[in-house]
Amino acid sequence: MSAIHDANKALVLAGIKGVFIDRDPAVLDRLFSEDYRQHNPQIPNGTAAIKALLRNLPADFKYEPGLVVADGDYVTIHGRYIGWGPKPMVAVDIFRVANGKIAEHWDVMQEEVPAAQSANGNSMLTTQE
Amino acid sequence: MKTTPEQSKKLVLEAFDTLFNKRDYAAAEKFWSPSYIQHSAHIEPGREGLFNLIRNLPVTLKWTHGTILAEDDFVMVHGRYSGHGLPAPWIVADIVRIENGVLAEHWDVIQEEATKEQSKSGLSMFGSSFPKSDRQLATAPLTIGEAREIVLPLYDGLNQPGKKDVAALLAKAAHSDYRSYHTNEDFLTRDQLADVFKNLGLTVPDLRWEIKDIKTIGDQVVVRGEATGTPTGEFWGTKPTGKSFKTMALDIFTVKNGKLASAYHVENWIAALQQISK
Repeated sequence: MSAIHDANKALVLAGIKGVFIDRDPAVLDRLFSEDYRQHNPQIPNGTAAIKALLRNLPADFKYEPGLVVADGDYVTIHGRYIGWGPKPMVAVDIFRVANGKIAEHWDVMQEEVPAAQSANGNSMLTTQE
Repeated sequence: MKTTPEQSKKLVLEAFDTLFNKRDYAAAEKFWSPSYIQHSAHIEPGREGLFNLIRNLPVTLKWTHGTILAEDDFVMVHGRYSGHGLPAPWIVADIVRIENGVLAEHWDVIQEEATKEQSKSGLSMFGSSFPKSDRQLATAPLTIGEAREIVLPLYDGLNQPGKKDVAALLAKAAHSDYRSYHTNEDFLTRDQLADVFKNLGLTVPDLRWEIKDIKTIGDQVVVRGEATGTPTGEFWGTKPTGKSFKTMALDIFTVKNGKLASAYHVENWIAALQQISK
Protein backbone atom coordinates (compact mmCIF):
# COMPACT_ATOMS: atom_id res chain seq x y z
CA MET A 1 0.00 0.00 0.00
CA SER A 2 1.39 3.37 -0.95
CA ALA A 3 1.38 6.38 1.33
CA ILE A 4 -0.96 8.23 -1.05
CA HIS A 5 -3.39 5.32 -0.95
CA ASP A 6 -3.54 5.42 2.84
CA ALA A 7 -3.73 9.22 2.88
CA ASN A 8 -6.67 9.23 0.46
CA LYS A 9 -8.50 6.63 2.50
CA ALA A 10 -7.91 8.54 5.75
CA LEU A 11 -8.97 11.82 4.11
CA VAL A 12 -12.27 10.45 2.77
CA LEU A 13 -13.13 8.65 6.01
CA ALA A 14 -12.37 11.81 8.01
CA GLY A 15 -14.50 13.78 5.55
CA ILE A 16 -17.60 11.56 5.58
CA LYS A 17 -17.43 10.90 9.34
CA GLY A 18 -16.88 14.60 10.04
CA VAL A 19 -19.93 15.50 7.99
CA PHE A 20 -22.40 12.72 8.77
CA ILE A 21 -21.31 11.50 12.23
CA ASP A 22 -19.89 14.64 13.89
CA ARG A 23 -22.07 16.92 11.72
CA ASP A 24 -19.26 19.45 11.73
CA PRO A 25 -19.64 21.95 8.86
CA ALA A 26 -16.01 23.11 9.33
CA VAL A 27 -14.88 19.75 7.91
CA LEU A 28 -16.29 20.82 4.57
CA ASP A 29 -14.01 23.87 4.44
CA ARG A 30 -11.00 21.89 5.63
CA LEU A 31 -11.21 18.63 3.65
CA PHE A 32 -13.42 19.31 0.63
CA SER A 33 -12.48 21.10 -2.55
CA GLU A 34 -14.01 24.55 -3.11
CA ASP A 35 -15.52 23.47 -6.42
CA TYR A 36 -16.79 20.12 -5.04
CA ARG A 37 -18.58 18.34 -7.89
CA GLN A 38 -21.80 16.56 -6.96
CA HIS A 39 -23.32 13.68 -8.96
CA ASN A 40 -26.06 12.83 -6.44
CA PRO A 41 -29.03 14.18 -8.43
CA GLN A 42 -30.76 15.56 -5.32
CA ILE A 43 -27.89 17.84 -4.24
CA PRO A 44 -26.45 20.91 -5.98
CA ASN A 45 -22.68 21.27 -6.58
CA GLY A 46 -20.40 22.74 -3.93
CA THR A 47 -19.94 22.45 -0.15
CA ALA A 48 -22.61 25.06 0.71
CA ALA A 49 -25.27 22.57 -0.36
CA ILE A 50 -23.89 19.96 2.08
CA LYS A 51 -23.86 22.54 4.90
CA ALA A 52 -27.51 23.33 4.16
CA LEU A 53 -28.29 19.62 4.14
CA LEU A 54 -26.56 19.18 7.53
CA ARG A 55 -28.82 21.83 9.08
CA ASN A 56 -31.87 19.89 7.93
CA LEU A 57 -30.89 16.41 9.08
CA PRO A 58 -33.25 14.95 11.69
CA ALA A 59 -31.90 14.64 15.26
CA ASP A 60 -31.90 10.83 15.10
CA PHE A 61 -30.00 10.72 11.79
CA LYS A 62 -27.18 8.17 11.79
CA TYR A 63 -24.45 7.19 9.35
CA GLU A 64 -22.72 3.80 9.65
CA PRO A 65 -19.73 3.24 7.36
CA GLY A 66 -18.87 -0.33 6.32
CA LEU A 67 -16.37 -1.63 3.76
CA VAL A 68 -13.88 0.93 2.39
CA VAL A 69 -12.06 0.32 -0.89
CA ALA A 70 -9.38 2.71 -2.13
CA ASP A 71 -7.67 2.63 -5.51
CA GLY A 72 -5.79 5.40 -7.29
CA ASP A 73 -7.56 8.74 -6.83
CA TYR A 74 -10.80 7.06 -5.78
CA VAL A 75 -12.19 5.89 -2.45
CA THR A 76 -15.52 4.11 -2.07
CA ILE A 77 -17.48 3.43 1.12
CA HIS A 78 -20.37 1.01 1.58
CA GLY A 79 -22.60 2.20 4.40
CA ARG A 80 -26.02 2.79 5.88
CA TYR A 81 -27.88 6.09 6.29
CA ILE A 82 -30.66 6.09 8.89
CA GLY A 83 -33.04 9.04 8.77
CA TRP A 84 -32.08 10.13 5.25
CA GLY A 85 -35.39 8.80 3.97
CA PRO A 86 -38.38 7.17 5.64
CA LYS A 87 -36.53 3.83 5.72
CA PRO A 88 -32.82 3.13 6.33
CA MET A 89 -30.86 3.50 3.10
CA VAL A 90 -27.89 1.42 1.96
CA ALA A 91 -25.37 3.42 -0.06
CA VAL A 92 -22.13 3.21 -1.92
CA ASP A 93 -20.41 6.60 -1.95
CA ILE A 94 -17.59 7.11 -4.42
CA PHE A 95 -15.18 10.00 -3.91
CA ARG A 96 -12.40 11.36 -6.11
CA VAL A 97 -9.47 12.98 -4.36
CA ALA A 98 -7.51 15.77 -6.06
CA ASN A 99 -4.72 17.91 -4.57
CA GLY A 100 -5.29 16.44 -1.13
CA LYS A 101 -8.98 17.43 -1.03
CA ILE A 102 -12.23 15.56 -1.63
CA ALA A 103 -13.10 16.87 -5.08
CA GLU A 104 -16.00 14.89 -6.54
CA HIS A 105 -18.76 12.55 -5.37
CA TRP A 106 -21.05 9.94 -6.85
CA ASP A 107 -23.40 7.67 -4.98
CA VAL A 108 -25.96 4.94 -5.34
CA MET A 109 -28.66 4.70 -2.66
CA GLN A 110 -31.37 2.13 -2.08
CA GLU A 111 -33.84 1.46 0.71
CA GLU A 112 -32.49 -1.33 2.87
CA VAL A 113 -34.26 -4.67 2.53
CA PRO A 114 -33.94 -6.50 5.86
CA ALA A 115 -32.33 -9.95 5.57
CA ALA A 116 -35.61 -11.65 6.50
CA GLN A 117 -37.29 -10.11 3.44
CA SER A 118 -34.40 -10.63 1.03
CA ALA A 119 -34.59 -13.20 -1.80
CA ASN A 120 -31.51 -14.88 -0.32
CA GLY A 121 -31.84 -14.25 3.42
CA ASN A 122 -28.62 -12.23 3.63
CA SER A 123 -28.01 -8.68 4.85
CA MET A 124 -27.37 -6.03 2.18
CA LEU A 125 -24.47 -4.66 4.22
CA THR A 126 -20.82 -5.63 4.50
CA THR A 127 -20.73 -4.80 8.21
CA GLN A 128 -21.37 -7.58 10.71
CA GLU A 129 -24.12 -6.88 13.22
CA MET B 1 -3.36 -18.18 -5.20
CA LYS B 2 -4.19 -14.60 -4.35
CA THR B 3 -5.12 -12.21 -7.15
CA THR B 4 -3.64 -8.72 -7.25
CA PRO B 5 -6.04 -5.74 -7.36
CA GLU B 6 -5.31 -5.31 -11.09
CA GLN B 7 -6.07 -9.00 -11.75
CA SER B 8 -9.23 -8.79 -9.64
CA LYS B 9 -10.53 -5.82 -11.65
CA LYS B 10 -9.85 -7.58 -14.94
CA LEU B 11 -11.56 -10.71 -13.61
CA VAL B 12 -14.72 -8.86 -12.56
CA LEU B 13 -14.97 -6.93 -15.85
CA GLU B 14 -14.57 -10.13 -17.89
CA ALA B 15 -17.03 -12.02 -15.70
CA PHE B 16 -19.74 -9.34 -15.89
CA ASP B 17 -19.30 -8.90 -19.64
CA THR B 18 -19.51 -12.67 -20.17
CA LEU B 19 -22.70 -13.08 -18.15
CA PHE B 20 -24.60 -9.79 -18.64
CA ASN B 21 -23.64 -8.86 -22.20
CA LYS B 22 -22.53 -12.07 -23.93
CA ARG B 23 -24.78 -14.35 -21.87
CA ASP B 24 -22.32 -17.19 -22.22
CA TYR B 25 -23.42 -19.22 -19.20
CA ALA B 26 -20.88 -22.01 -19.71
CA ALA B 27 -18.00 -19.54 -19.87
CA ALA B 28 -19.45 -17.60 -16.92
CA GLU B 29 -19.28 -20.72 -14.71
CA LYS B 30 -15.50 -20.37 -14.76
CA PHE B 31 -15.73 -16.92 -13.16
CA TRP B 32 -18.33 -17.61 -10.47
CA SER B 33 -17.77 -19.81 -7.45
CA PRO B 34 -20.28 -22.68 -7.16
CA SER B 35 -20.76 -21.55 -3.55
CA TYR B 36 -21.38 -17.89 -4.51
CA ILE B 37 -22.88 -15.86 -1.63
CA GLN B 38 -25.51 -13.33 -2.64
CA HIS B 39 -26.41 -10.19 -0.65
CA SER B 40 -28.37 -8.31 -3.33
CA ALA B 41 -31.87 -8.33 -1.87
CA HIS B 42 -33.70 -9.12 -5.14
CA ILE B 43 -31.52 -12.01 -6.35
CA GLU B 44 -32.13 -15.65 -5.45
CA PRO B 45 -29.25 -17.38 -3.65
CA GLY B 46 -26.19 -18.90 -5.25
CA ARG B 47 -24.66 -18.89 -8.70
CA GLU B 48 -27.78 -20.43 -10.24
CA GLY B 49 -29.94 -17.69 -8.70
CA LEU B 50 -27.90 -15.07 -10.53
CA PHE B 51 -27.72 -17.01 -13.81
CA ASN B 52 -31.49 -17.61 -13.75
CA LEU B 53 -32.12 -13.90 -13.20
CA ILE B 54 -30.14 -13.12 -16.37
CA ARG B 55 -31.84 -15.94 -18.32
CA ASN B 56 -35.19 -14.29 -17.62
CA LEU B 57 -34.19 -10.73 -18.56
CA PRO B 58 -34.84 -9.38 -22.06
CA VAL B 59 -32.07 -9.81 -24.64
CA THR B 60 -31.78 -6.03 -24.80
CA LEU B 61 -30.05 -6.02 -21.39
CA LYS B 62 -26.78 -4.11 -21.53
CA TRP B 63 -24.20 -3.52 -18.80
CA THR B 64 -21.58 -0.80 -19.07
CA HIS B 65 -19.08 0.12 -16.40
CA GLY B 66 -17.47 3.29 -15.13
CA THR B 67 -15.15 3.60 -12.15
CA ILE B 68 -13.71 0.34 -10.88
CA LEU B 69 -11.69 0.03 -7.68
CA ALA B 70 -9.95 -2.89 -6.02
CA GLU B 71 -8.25 -3.39 -2.69
CA ASP B 72 -7.40 -6.61 -0.87
CA ASP B 73 -10.09 -9.14 -1.87
CA PHE B 74 -12.73 -6.56 -2.81
CA VAL B 75 -13.71 -4.96 -6.10
CA MET B 76 -16.26 -2.14 -6.46
CA VAL B 77 -17.57 -1.40 -9.92
CA HIS B 78 -19.91 1.46 -10.83
CA GLY B 79 -22.18 0.42 -13.66
CA ARG B 80 -25.33 1.05 -15.67
CA TYR B 81 -27.81 -1.73 -16.47
CA SER B 82 -30.16 -0.73 -19.29
CA GLY B 83 -32.62 -2.55 -21.53
CA HIS B 84 -33.89 -4.66 -18.61
CA GLY B 85 -37.54 -3.92 -19.34
CA LEU B 86 -38.10 -1.22 -16.72
CA PRO B 87 -38.56 2.43 -17.70
CA ALA B 88 -35.33 3.84 -16.18
CA PRO B 89 -31.83 2.34 -16.42
CA TRP B 90 -30.32 1.16 -13.13
CA ILE B 91 -27.16 2.68 -11.76
CA VAL B 92 -25.52 0.06 -9.58
CA ALA B 93 -22.51 -0.14 -7.32
CA ASP B 94 -21.54 -3.81 -7.33
CA ILE B 95 -19.14 -5.02 -4.65
CA VAL B 96 -17.52 -8.40 -5.21
CA ARG B 97 -15.25 -10.43 -2.96
CA ILE B 98 -12.70 -12.54 -4.81
CA GLU B 99 -11.57 -15.87 -3.41
CA ASN B 100 -9.27 -18.40 -5.14
CA GLY B 101 -9.47 -16.44 -8.39
CA VAL B 102 -13.28 -16.48 -8.70
CA LEU B 103 -16.21 -14.28 -7.68
CA ALA B 104 -17.22 -15.61 -4.26
CA GLU B 105 -19.55 -13.04 -2.68
CA HIS B 106 -21.59 -10.06 -3.87
CA TRP B 107 -23.31 -6.97 -2.51
CA ASP B 108 -24.92 -4.18 -4.50
CA VAL B 109 -26.82 -0.94 -4.27
CA ILE B 110 -29.31 -0.13 -7.02
CA GLN B 111 -30.89 3.20 -7.94
CA GLU B 112 -32.91 4.37 -10.93
CA GLU B 113 -30.85 6.70 -13.09
CA ALA B 114 -31.90 10.36 -12.86
CA THR B 115 -32.56 12.31 -16.03
CA LYS B 116 -31.00 15.68 -16.81
CA GLU B 117 -34.18 17.43 -15.64
CA GLN B 118 -33.96 15.61 -12.28
CA SER B 119 -30.33 16.52 -11.51
CA LYS B 120 -29.88 19.53 -9.21
CA SER B 121 -26.18 19.85 -10.00
CA GLY B 122 -26.54 19.34 -13.74
CA LEU B 123 -24.11 16.40 -13.45
CA SER B 124 -25.04 12.84 -14.38
CA MET B 125 -25.15 9.97 -11.87
CA PHE B 126 -22.99 7.82 -14.13
CA GLY B 127 -20.52 8.54 -16.93
CA SER B 128 -20.65 11.86 -18.69
CA SER B 129 -24.12 11.63 -20.17
CA PHE B 130 -27.71 11.33 -19.03
CA PRO B 131 -29.99 8.44 -19.99
CA LYS B 132 -32.09 8.72 -23.10
CA SER B 133 -35.71 9.47 -22.31
CA ASP B 134 -38.33 6.74 -22.73
CA ARG B 135 -39.44 8.45 -25.88
CA GLN B 136 -35.99 8.19 -27.45
CA LEU B 137 -35.73 4.55 -26.37
CA ALA B 138 -39.14 3.73 -27.77
CA THR B 139 -38.23 5.07 -31.19
CA ALA B 140 -34.89 3.26 -31.42
CA PRO B 141 -35.66 0.69 -34.14
CA LEU B 142 -35.12 -2.99 -33.41
CA THR B 143 -32.39 -4.71 -35.38
CA ILE B 144 -33.18 -8.03 -37.11
CA GLY B 145 -30.78 -9.78 -34.71
CA GLU B 146 -32.51 -8.35 -31.62
CA ALA B 147 -35.93 -9.21 -33.07
CA ARG B 148 -34.88 -12.78 -33.81
CA GLU B 149 -33.56 -13.30 -30.27
CA ILE B 150 -36.78 -11.92 -28.78
CA VAL B 151 -39.16 -14.12 -30.84
CA LEU B 152 -37.01 -17.27 -30.84
CA PRO B 153 -38.27 -18.79 -27.54
CA LEU B 154 -41.88 -18.46 -28.78
CA TYR B 155 -41.11 -20.41 -31.98
CA ASP B 156 -39.06 -22.89 -29.98
CA GLY B 157 -42.31 -23.62 -28.13
CA LEU B 158 -43.95 -24.48 -31.49
CA ASN B 159 -41.33 -27.11 -32.37
CA GLN B 160 -42.49 -30.39 -30.84
CA PRO B 161 -44.37 -28.53 -28.08
CA GLY B 162 -44.98 -31.77 -26.18
CA LYS B 163 -41.28 -31.96 -25.37
CA LYS B 164 -40.94 -28.33 -24.25
CA ASP B 165 -41.71 -26.23 -21.20
CA VAL B 166 -44.01 -24.06 -23.30
CA ALA B 167 -45.07 -21.73 -20.46
CA ALA B 168 -41.43 -20.95 -19.59
CA LEU B 169 -40.53 -20.30 -23.24
CA LEU B 170 -43.48 -17.94 -23.66
CA ALA B 171 -42.57 -16.18 -20.41
CA LYS B 172 -39.08 -15.62 -21.78
CA ALA B 173 -40.36 -14.09 -25.04
CA ALA B 174 -43.49 -12.23 -23.96
CA HIS B 175 -44.71 -9.96 -21.17
CA SER B 176 -47.21 -11.43 -18.68
CA ASP B 177 -50.00 -9.24 -20.15
CA TYR B 178 -49.21 -10.39 -23.72
CA ARG B 179 -52.12 -10.45 -26.14
CA SER B 180 -52.14 -12.87 -29.05
CA TYR B 181 -54.83 -11.72 -31.50
CA HIS B 182 -56.41 -14.29 -33.83
CA THR B 183 -58.99 -11.77 -35.10
CA ASN B 184 -58.72 -8.00 -34.99
CA GLU B 185 -60.71 -8.01 -31.73
CA ASP B 186 -60.19 -11.38 -30.07
CA PHE B 187 -57.04 -12.37 -28.27
CA LEU B 188 -55.63 -15.06 -26.02
CA THR B 189 -53.54 -14.27 -22.95
CA ARG B 190 -50.03 -15.66 -22.54
CA ASP B 191 -51.32 -18.48 -20.30
CA GLN B 192 -54.14 -19.34 -22.72
CA LEU B 193 -51.65 -19.39 -25.58
CA ALA B 194 -49.44 -21.82 -23.65
CA ASP B 195 -52.42 -24.19 -23.44
CA VAL B 196 -52.99 -23.88 -27.21
CA PHE B 197 -49.33 -24.75 -27.85
CA LYS B 198 -49.57 -27.77 -25.51
CA ASN B 199 -52.74 -29.01 -27.25
CA LEU B 200 -51.09 -28.57 -30.66
CA GLY B 201 -48.25 -30.73 -29.32
CA LEU B 202 -50.77 -33.47 -28.41
CA THR B 203 -52.50 -33.41 -31.82
CA VAL B 204 -49.40 -32.82 -33.96
CA PRO B 205 -46.49 -34.34 -31.98
CA ASP B 206 -43.95 -33.75 -34.79
CA LEU B 207 -44.97 -30.09 -35.32
CA ARG B 208 -42.19 -27.93 -36.76
CA TRP B 209 -42.32 -24.16 -37.08
CA GLU B 210 -39.61 -22.48 -39.10
CA ILE B 211 -38.90 -18.77 -39.52
CA LYS B 212 -38.71 -18.26 -43.31
CA ASP B 213 -38.38 -14.46 -43.16
CA ILE B 214 -38.19 -11.81 -40.45
CA LYS B 215 -38.47 -8.02 -40.78
CA THR B 216 -38.59 -5.14 -38.33
CA ILE B 217 -40.43 -1.83 -38.59
CA GLY B 218 -39.61 0.37 -35.57
CA ASP B 219 -40.80 -1.62 -32.55
CA GLN B 220 -42.70 -4.15 -34.69
CA VAL B 221 -41.50 -7.52 -35.93
CA VAL B 222 -43.02 -9.36 -38.89
CA VAL B 223 -42.33 -13.10 -39.19
CA ARG B 224 -43.29 -15.29 -42.15
CA GLY B 225 -43.23 -18.81 -40.87
CA GLU B 226 -43.74 -22.33 -42.16
CA ALA B 227 -45.59 -24.91 -40.09
CA THR B 228 -45.21 -28.59 -40.95
CA GLY B 229 -46.49 -31.66 -39.16
CA THR B 230 -48.49 -34.89 -39.21
CA PRO B 231 -51.65 -34.84 -37.07
CA THR B 232 -52.22 -37.99 -35.00
CA GLY B 233 -55.49 -36.73 -33.53
CA GLU B 234 -58.47 -34.72 -34.76
CA PHE B 235 -57.13 -31.47 -36.20
CA TRP B 236 -59.54 -28.52 -36.65
CA GLY B 237 -62.37 -31.06 -36.96
CA THR B 238 -60.54 -33.29 -39.48
CA LYS B 239 -59.61 -36.89 -38.62
CA PRO B 240 -55.94 -37.89 -39.02
CA THR B 241 -55.08 -39.60 -42.33
CA GLY B 242 -51.36 -40.14 -41.79
CA LYS B 243 -50.69 -37.31 -44.25
CA SER B 244 -48.64 -34.25 -43.36
CA PHE B 245 -49.21 -30.55 -43.95
CA LYS B 246 -46.90 -27.70 -44.86
CA THR B 247 -48.46 -24.27 -44.58
CA MET B 248 -47.70 -20.60 -44.08
CA ALA B 249 -48.16 -18.36 -41.04
CA LEU B 250 -47.77 -14.60 -40.66
CA ASP B 251 -47.16 -12.96 -37.28
CA ILE B 252 -46.95 -9.23 -36.58
CA PHE B 253 -45.49 -8.62 -33.11
CA THR B 254 -45.09 -5.41 -31.12
CA VAL B 255 -42.07 -5.26 -28.80
CA LYS B 256 -42.03 -3.15 -25.64
CA ASN B 257 -38.97 -2.95 -23.37
CA GLY B 258 -37.30 -5.92 -25.00
CA LYS B 259 -40.21 -8.38 -24.83
CA LEU B 260 -43.30 -9.14 -26.91
CA ALA B 261 -46.36 -7.10 -25.94
CA SER B 262 -48.81 -8.32 -28.59
CA ALA B 263 -49.17 -10.30 -31.80
CA TYR B 264 -51.63 -10.39 -34.70
CA HIS B 265 -51.35 -13.75 -36.40
CA VAL B 266 -52.89 -15.80 -39.21
CA GLU B 267 -52.14 -19.38 -40.26
CA ASN B 268 -53.40 -20.91 -43.46
CA TRP B 269 -55.06 -23.91 -41.74
CA ILE B 270 -57.46 -24.36 -44.70
CA ALA B 271 -54.52 -25.29 -46.95
CA ALA B 272 -53.21 -27.60 -44.20
CA LEU B 273 -56.56 -29.41 -43.92
CA GLN B 274 -56.82 -29.79 -47.73
CA GLN B 275 -53.35 -31.38 -47.77
CA ILE B 276 -54.30 -33.82 -45.01
CA SER B 277 -57.56 -34.94 -46.58
CA LYS B 278 -56.72 -34.97 -50.30
